[in-house]
This record gives sequence, structure tokens and C-alpha cells, in this order.
Amino acid sequence: MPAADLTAGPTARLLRLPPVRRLAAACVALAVVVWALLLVQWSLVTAVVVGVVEGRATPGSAAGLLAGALAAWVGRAGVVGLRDLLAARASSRVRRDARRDLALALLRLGPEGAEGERAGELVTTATEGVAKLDGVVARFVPGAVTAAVVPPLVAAAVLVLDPGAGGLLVLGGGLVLVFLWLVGTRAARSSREQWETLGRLGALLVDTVGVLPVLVSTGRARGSVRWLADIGERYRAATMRVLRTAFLSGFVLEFGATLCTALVAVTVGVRLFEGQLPFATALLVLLLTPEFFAPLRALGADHHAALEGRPAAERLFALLDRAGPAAGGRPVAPGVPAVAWDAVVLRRDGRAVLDGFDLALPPGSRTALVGPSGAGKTSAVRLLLGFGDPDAGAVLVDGVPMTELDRDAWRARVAYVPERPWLLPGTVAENVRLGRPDATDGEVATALERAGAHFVARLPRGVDTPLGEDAARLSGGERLRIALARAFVKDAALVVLDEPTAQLDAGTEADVLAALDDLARGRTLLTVTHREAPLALHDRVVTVAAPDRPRAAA
Amino acid sequence: MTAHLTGRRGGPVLGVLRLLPRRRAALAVVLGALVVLCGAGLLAASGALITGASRRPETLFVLLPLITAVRLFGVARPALRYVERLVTHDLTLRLVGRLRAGLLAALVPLAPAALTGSRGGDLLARIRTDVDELQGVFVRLVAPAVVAGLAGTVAVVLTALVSPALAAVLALLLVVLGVAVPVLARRAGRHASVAAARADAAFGADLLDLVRGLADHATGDGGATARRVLEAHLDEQAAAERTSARLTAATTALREGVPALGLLAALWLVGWDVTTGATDPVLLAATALGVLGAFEAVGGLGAAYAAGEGVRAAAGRVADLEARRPAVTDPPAPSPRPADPTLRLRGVSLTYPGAPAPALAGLDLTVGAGEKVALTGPSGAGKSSVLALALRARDPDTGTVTLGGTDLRELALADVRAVSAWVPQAPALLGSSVAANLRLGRPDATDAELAAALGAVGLDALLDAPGLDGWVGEGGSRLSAGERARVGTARALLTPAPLLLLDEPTAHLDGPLAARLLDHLAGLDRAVLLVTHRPDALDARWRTVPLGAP
Repeated sequence: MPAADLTAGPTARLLRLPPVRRLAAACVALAVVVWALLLVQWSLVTAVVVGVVEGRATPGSAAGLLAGALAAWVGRAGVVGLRDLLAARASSRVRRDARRDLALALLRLGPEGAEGERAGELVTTATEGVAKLDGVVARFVPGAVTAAVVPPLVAAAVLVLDPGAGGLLVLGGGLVLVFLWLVGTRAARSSREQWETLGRLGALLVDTVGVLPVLVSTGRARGSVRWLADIGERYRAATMRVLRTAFLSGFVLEFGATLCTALVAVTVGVRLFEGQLPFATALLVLLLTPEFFAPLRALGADHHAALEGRPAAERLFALLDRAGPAAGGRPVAPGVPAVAWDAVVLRRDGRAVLDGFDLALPPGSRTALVGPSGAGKTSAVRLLLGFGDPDAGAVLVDGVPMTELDRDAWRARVAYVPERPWLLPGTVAENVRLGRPDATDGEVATALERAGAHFVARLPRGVDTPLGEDAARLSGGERLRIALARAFVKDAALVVLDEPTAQLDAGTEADVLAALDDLARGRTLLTVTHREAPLALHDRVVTVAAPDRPRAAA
Repeated sequence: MTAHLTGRRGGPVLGVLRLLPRRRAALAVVLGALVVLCGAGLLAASGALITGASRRPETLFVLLPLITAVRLFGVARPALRYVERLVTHDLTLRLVGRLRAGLLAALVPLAPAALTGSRGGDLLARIRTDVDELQGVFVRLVAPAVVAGLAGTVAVVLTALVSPALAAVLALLLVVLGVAVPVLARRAGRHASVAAARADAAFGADLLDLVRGLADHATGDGGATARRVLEAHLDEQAAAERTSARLTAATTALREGVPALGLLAALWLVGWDVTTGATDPVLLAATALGVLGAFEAVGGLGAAYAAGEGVRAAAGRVADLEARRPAVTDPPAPSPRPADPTLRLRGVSLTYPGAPAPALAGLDLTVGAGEKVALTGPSGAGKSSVLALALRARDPDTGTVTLGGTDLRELALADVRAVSAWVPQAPALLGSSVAANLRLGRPDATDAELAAALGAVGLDALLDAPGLDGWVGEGGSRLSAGERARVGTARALLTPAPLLLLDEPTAHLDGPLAARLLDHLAGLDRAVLLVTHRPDALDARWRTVPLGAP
């Protein structure tokens, strides 16, 4: 059975989804109808041909039979169309759900959980990968059901008509399936490799476009075009190796089908010649033989599509199943919280990023974290935001470990301004409202004002100016102010800043620090910084030493 | 490789077709037509064999040619099909390679200036989905059309030998199924296919936005905004797909149903000929089954027209990209590259398109050979714009930028860029090794030279982990922002350029590291023009030029 290697693992899981199960059930019913109509159609055609050839009838006298054959045929075409419609709808539904779930999984995993994923590969899975599920749901499922239902029923009909030809069909069909299974398992293996190559190629393409300005400025752009062409050529060679095997299954099917048809035609013809078989039976058997193989042949093409979908389903489910940080349900107490790291150990790739990190932030305190690059300051901050959990020790909010907290509720109380804030491609106002979606226009304006984002007034459409991809036209200081406005509009209890002034000049820095002073009032403030000026804002400065890392102070 | 994606004449799709390897394409369509004809031949020969046998000829030898034909068609069809599929896919992969290279070549003149305006995610989606769409141009469009024409014509001619009337009916039905039905379907599906492609690209950009800004989204509103935008695009996509689904179902029904008319016409027309004795009875089943088999010729055309619409839209978008006018171009007759690398800006003003205020107004600046100059000033004072002008990423609106006394606009772009090495504020890295990223600066640099460059920017630690051949993550994601910036600086140090243009090289560095890097730069015998927010870290070797907001 070509489906043999698809009945386990991710594809099976895909097939168990409710829309897919409903589709399969409908396809079974439709396949039985198709078979019945096939028998009617070919019996009537046989009657006409035999009548005319043997001179017992004219096309005119057989007009009723012809009309019956036409009706059966048209009915069958309608049923097949209906099957395609149901399949396309189920596929659309499955892919839409998969894409939504993938986005939700990303949010659940957070930046730590998704960090190992290369952005391009992730996007490939959600766009190209999920698109390939269409091959499984819209093509393979109806094809496989038809192939499982129609050929056995056709074989049964032929067995009744002529056991000899029926036996030939069953034997030929069985052999074809065995060969298919053999080549199919090999093709499945190579297809997985092909997928990985494709993913890597995708990631490289994203990077090549990203790095293009530098390539152009160093005069290496032409070289990169050649380099990309080399990768494409390697990709082609690898794919052709896969296809030579993958197409073998198609060849076997096609070969089995046409050879069996030829064998049935010749044996039936010879027996007819010898007078062992009536003409009508022989002709009906001949007409039904291609119908035995047609669903299997169609499935051969669909099977290829399903094979392509399998690694996609695998990657999809692997992403959906990846365990995020433990989800606790304990609510976050109101008011300004006390937070603490208690003997926190965090390892990444086998080395300690944090090794027994202890720090307590009392409510309303202002703490600056300093220390060499790579000492784990940003990692400590990310743990506080609930992105990931320590390998040992605990991050405590009002004495409650982060693992027991409702993390979404906790993040709703925190305003975080990363080193390089990400700005949405939407408008300035939309970017500010990321802090609090229901903020009024007035609140947005106030937040921008308090963040010192006066430049917004000079933009062509003020707060409604679209920023474009990652706000490429804004300077570092301008980006920071929009991110600060986000924090202002949020009215959070804890404010966390990562290198807030790294990209600012002294004058701008002073302005921003004044805004930060305003922002921190009545809240707990934690700032990671390399620079001197922000330190004045804080009650205390905590130096984080790098754990035993074999790096220069980098 | 300067494969142009768009022909100068005859639409963007024709431009793509010109990239097809011709001999392979011809071979593929001939094989495709033979496959169809073998299938029809097998059916027809079988029908003739059965009818012939039913008439009990005196000896089996009379049937021998038919038996041989049945076996020949039976074996030839799968073999031809196998070869045809390999040839077709090989050809498609070659086409993809040419398309990607052509697209990147089209982007090269647009970088660095024009690339920042377009959404990066959109660009990514465009390159990926459009190339995917265009790669199907042969398999889904050209091959089905040409095979239909070839195999259909042969089938009609053969049918005419038995019954000219039936041949006319067959030709008519082939045209209905192969041309009329798909054209109508295409008209009905045009909006859906464009809408689906647009929603698809939008979703890709949404997701990229979500991945890159995950921390901001999660701590901002818990991802509510991102989800809302994303779901809206998914809804658009689902709506477009519902329309396509109805259309697909209708075409399927017609594809399955119309051949019935051909079979019935054969039975009727040839049946009367047999009844009147004009035609041998052996030919009745043979012709009917042969006509049925001939419909395979146009079976793939329905999908071809649907594909055609998508291909045209994708080719159009790619052509738009290629037609976009670069911000700067090579002069027709470039002056020779000046030996003196002195950079001089005189009365230079620059206003970005769509910007409310000029970025630079009437600036004068000279950087002599080997001189160390630091540009300081508040955010938005146009410091980075000075570097963009020096690199000739853009041209000034007024004033001149000269190199050794020659206006940049009179020099070949390659010469301008060979004189200077530019490091943007957040330099992009390739998802490759440390060494590969550094060698973008100098391809033939030895490992020792790479190590020295890393040492100069205080990145010796990278030699241990991940190592010169270690992977830096996609876009350098395994390195910190500070490390990425310094890899960019090291890359520039490796180039032989006599003028370095550095945008905030010390932004992410703490005091001692910044001092070490600045000291190294000041000790170079090349000229350095750098942008910094921290003039306090500069010693007497640097000349500071403050820029005020214009």
C-alpha cells in the first residue's frame, strides 16, 4: 500500500484531525457511488458496442442505452467534482488552523524557546511547509480513499464476470503495491533530506538579501550572485538524485497498470478467439480494467505530494509540541512587586551563563546592572520576563516562583524596553498601543510627549505615519522614544530597560534619562547598562561578574 | 551572470520563458505527447483486439499485429513517462537557479539605498513565493499547453482516417475542454488567485515581524496585536481559497464529464458507419476507446490556465522590482580612479524622499588621506547620511562629493566603493561561518589575517567559540549585537580600502573595549571617518566635526 509509510507519525496525526476525518468518511461514501455508476456506464456502453458489431442493433435503436450511459457518466463527474470541493475546503481549514496555532506556539515559547529556530526556517515552515499540507489533505486523502475503495470493488465485479481476468487484476494490483511500498520507503527518506536542504537554502536567501548593502559596498555583490547560483546548482543535483528514486514508484505503478491492461486484453482476446468467453463479458472486462488502475495511478501522483507534506507535518508538529516554559496559574498580586533571583543557574550549550545568581529588587527600588558583555545580564532579565526557566534556583515575584505564575498576567505588569526595540511596520500610534491596545488617542499622545518623542509631530502624518519594515528611517534615539512611549502607556509596576542609551549621543541621552526618571516614579526599575550616565538614576549599581567563561571581557 | 528576468520585448512572462533551456524543453514536450498517444494507442489496440477476436478469424496470426501493438504501447508508456518527468524536473530546477540569480542581480543595483524603503519581510516573501510561482512556468503552463497541441492534433488526424465527422467532434471537444473551460475558469478565478498570493505574502511578513519582535510583542500586549493582524490575513486567504475551491470542483466535473460526449459521438457516428457497412466493425470499439484516451491530452490544461494567472502576477511583480530605478547609477564614461583618496563634501544638501526636513543642508567636510575624523552630533543630525554620500549610496540634492578632486558621479561605482569600506550601525551577517563573513571583506585572506582582524576589534574570543569555521546563526543570531557590529568592523579592516566609513563602531562596547578599538583605528595609516555619540572617548589624533540639526 503506498500509504503504508504514511500511517505512522506526523502524517497519521494530520489524518486524525477532525476536518480530515470528516473528509475521509465523505470520500468513502462518494467512492462507492462512483463505483456503482462506473458499472452502469460501462455495461450500457458494452451493450451498445456488442449490439452494433454483431449487427443486432443500430445506434438509433440503442439510443436509450446511450442516454443511460451518458446520465451515469455525468452523475459520476458531478460526484468527483463534489469530492474535490469537500477536499479543498477541508485542506483550507487545516492549513489556516495550522498557521494560527504556529503563531500562538511562537508566542507561548517566547524568544528563548524560539531562539534555536532560525527565523527563515520558521517562516518557511509556516508558509511553504504548511502549504505542502494541501498535498496531503486535498489530494492524498481523497485519492487514498478512492484507491482503497474503488479498485477492490472493481476487482470483485471482474471476478464475478470472469474469474481468470479478475485473478490477473488482483495479482497484478498486489505486485504493484508491494513494489510501491519498497520504493516508497526509500523515497520518503530522501525527501526528508531534501526538505532540510530547502530550509537551509531559504535561510541563506534571506541573509543574502539582508547582507546585500554590505556586499554591494565591498563590490562583492556579483560574487554573491554566483555563490547563490552554486548553491542552487547543488540543490538541483541533490533534488534530481531524490527524484530519480521518487519517480520510480510512479514508474512501477504506471508500468504495472499498463502491463496489466495489456495482459488482460491479450488473454481475454485469446480466450475470446478460442470461444471460451462471450464477447460482451470480454469487452466489459476490458473496459473495467483501466478503472481498476486509474485510482491507483492518480494516487501515485498524490502520494508524491503526500511525501512532500510529511516532513512539513513533522516540523509543524515538532514546533507545536515544543514545551514552553511551565505554565502556572497563580495570579499576580496587585501593587508594585518585590522580585528576586534566588541562586539562579542558567546553562546554554553546556556552559553556564548564570551561575548562582542572587539579587533582590525591593518594591520601588531602582537598580542598575553593570558588568562585561556576556556576563549574563540580558539572560537574567529574560528570566525575569518569564522567557524560559533557570536550570536551578528560582525567579521569585512576591515570593512566588515564576514557574507557578500566570506568565501572561505577569508580563502585563512589566514594561520592557530591549536594547534594540522592534517596531511594527504599522503606524506610530499602533506601535505605542502595543503597550496597551485600548489606549485612547489622548493617552497615546501623552505617552509620546512624556517619552520626549517630539519628532513625531514633524512626521508627515504625525502619529498615523506608517513606519515601514522595522522603521528603517528612524534613528536609534527615535526608535527608543517610541519604545519608551510604549512603556509609558502601559502603566506597568516593573520597568525593565536593556541598554536604553547605548546608541544615543550625550544630549539625547540626558533627555531620555529625564524621561526615564519620570517613567520609573512609583515603580520598580531595573536597567542593564554599559554607560555611566544612566547610573545616576538608580539607588544602587550591581556588578555582574562573568561566570567561568573562557572569553576575554567581550 | 546577468540573466534578465524580463524581456525587453513582450511581457514579463515571455522574459521568464527565455530563461528556459530550449533543447530540454523540446525533448520534454515530445516525450509528453508520446506518453498521451501511447495511452490512447493502448486503449484503441485493446478494443480492436477484443472485437477482432470476437469475430473469430481463422487463425490467431491475424490478431498478432494487434497483440504486439498492445504490448508495445503497454511497455513504452511508463518508460517514456519516467524519462519525461526527470527531464521536466531537471529543467525546472535549472530555471529556478536562473530565476534566483536574476532576481538577486536585479536587487544589486538597488542596494543599499532603495532596499531600506521596502519591507524586508515583503521582499523575502516576494523572492520566495514569486520564484516558486515562476518555477512552475514550464511544468504547469508551457508543457501542458504544447503537449495538448501536439498530442491533440495527432489524435484528431488519426481519428479523421476512420471518421472525419468524429474527428471534427473530437477537435471541438478538445478545444472546449482545453481552451473554453479553462479560459472561463481563469476569468472567474483571477481575483481569488491574486488575493491568495497577496494574503500569503502578507502572512509571511506578519510572521517575520512576530519572530523578530517576539520579545516586544510578548511583553507589549502579549501578542494580541500580532494575532489580530495575522488572523485577518489568514481570513483573507481562506476566503480566496473558498472561491478557488468551487472553481476547481467545477473544472474537475467538466474534465470528467466532457469525454463522455466524445465516446458517445464515436459510438453514434462510427456505429452508423458500421451498420451501413462503410466501416469495419473492428474499428468501433477501437475508435471509441482511442477518442476517450485522447482526452488525456488536455487533462492538464485546466490547472495550466489557473497557473498562468499566478505566473503572470508573479512575473509582473518581479519585473516591477527590476524596473525600479536605482538611486545611483554608473556614469556612461567613468573617469579613471583617482590615486588620492581625499574625500571632500562641498555645500552638500540631502532630503530623503518623503521626509519633511532635509537630513543635511550646506555641509562642507574634508577627510584627507590617512586623516582620522569623527562626526558627532544629536540623533537626526545627518551623520549616517554623510557616510551614505561618501559611499555614493545616494547622490546629494545640491553640492558635490569628490574623491581626489573627481566628482563621485563621474567615477565608476565599483571604484568609489573600492576606495572606501563601509560598516553600517547594525551590519548584517550571513548565516554562515565567522570566516565566510570576514572573507566578504577580502576573499583571499588567510586564517592568520582573519585572526588578526578579530584581535584588532577585541573579538579574539570568537576564535575559541564558535571558532573561525563555526556557524554564526541565521543573520549572525548566535552572536550578540556588539559582536555582530565588531565582525562588521573586522570585515572592513580586512579590505584594502584607504578610507574606512564606520557608523557607531563603539555603540555596544564598554569603556576599555571602546578605547582599544578607537586606539587601533587611530593607529591605521588609512583615513577613517566615523560616526560616534561619545566624543569623550576620542584622543588628540582625532579631529571632531560636530553636526547640528540642519
